[in-house]
Amino acid sequence: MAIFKLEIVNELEELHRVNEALESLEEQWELPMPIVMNLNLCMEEALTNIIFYAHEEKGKHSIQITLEHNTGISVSVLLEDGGKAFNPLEETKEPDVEAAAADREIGGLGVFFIKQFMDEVEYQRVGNTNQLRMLKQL
Amino acid sequence: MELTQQKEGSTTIVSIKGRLDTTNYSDFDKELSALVSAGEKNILVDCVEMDYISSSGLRVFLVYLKKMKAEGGSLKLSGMQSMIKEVFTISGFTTLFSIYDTREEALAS
Repeated sequence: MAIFKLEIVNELEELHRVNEALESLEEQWELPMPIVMNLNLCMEEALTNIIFYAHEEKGKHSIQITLEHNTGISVSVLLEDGGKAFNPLEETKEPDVEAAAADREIGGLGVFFIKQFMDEVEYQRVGNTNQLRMLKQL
Repeated sequence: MELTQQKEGSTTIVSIKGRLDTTNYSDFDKELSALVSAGEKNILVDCVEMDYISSSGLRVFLVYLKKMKAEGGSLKLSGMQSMIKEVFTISGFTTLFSIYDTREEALAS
């Protein structure tokens, strides 16, 4: 079991640090590239939602990221933020992936990707903290 | 992300190199917006060197597909890497867009 922790602030530019961390873990943990790409995508979508929606007041807020590698079995991601209660898994309308272009709405894909690409997804509100856990089997 | 453009007949080819994500999708949007404003009717986005896309990037593609269709023009895609194609497929975007294996096939269509 290997654990990696990263703390970022609620600014989009911080996503570059997340990408770099994942690139480094890909090597260190010898993760297959498709797994890393799925993790990268789901983390970006989740973090973007947290950055945009979790805090109503301005100012820097931190987001804790914990990645756990259960060798040969799975990689899990835990995102914790101290924003308002926000469950991204419930509060987004799912996109209609069969709609024609003219009818297709712009939005709703981020959470959809998380549900599609991750094997387990769970949200909890613990005290004043939002916790989003995602797990990808290897 | 790097964006380069070239003209082939009546088609403008926009090549994307690198990642298209929440931090830079607006650059791609601006590039396409300028082409639409300039009256370009046929745009081909060459995705051979695009190695990552998230929902922000997909949104730009959808917005401009709608705009081009509304103007009687076209937005085609070519050379998609398999992981990117998977994202497009899961989103239902492969049924919305004309996606070709190579830019030559796209230009000939």
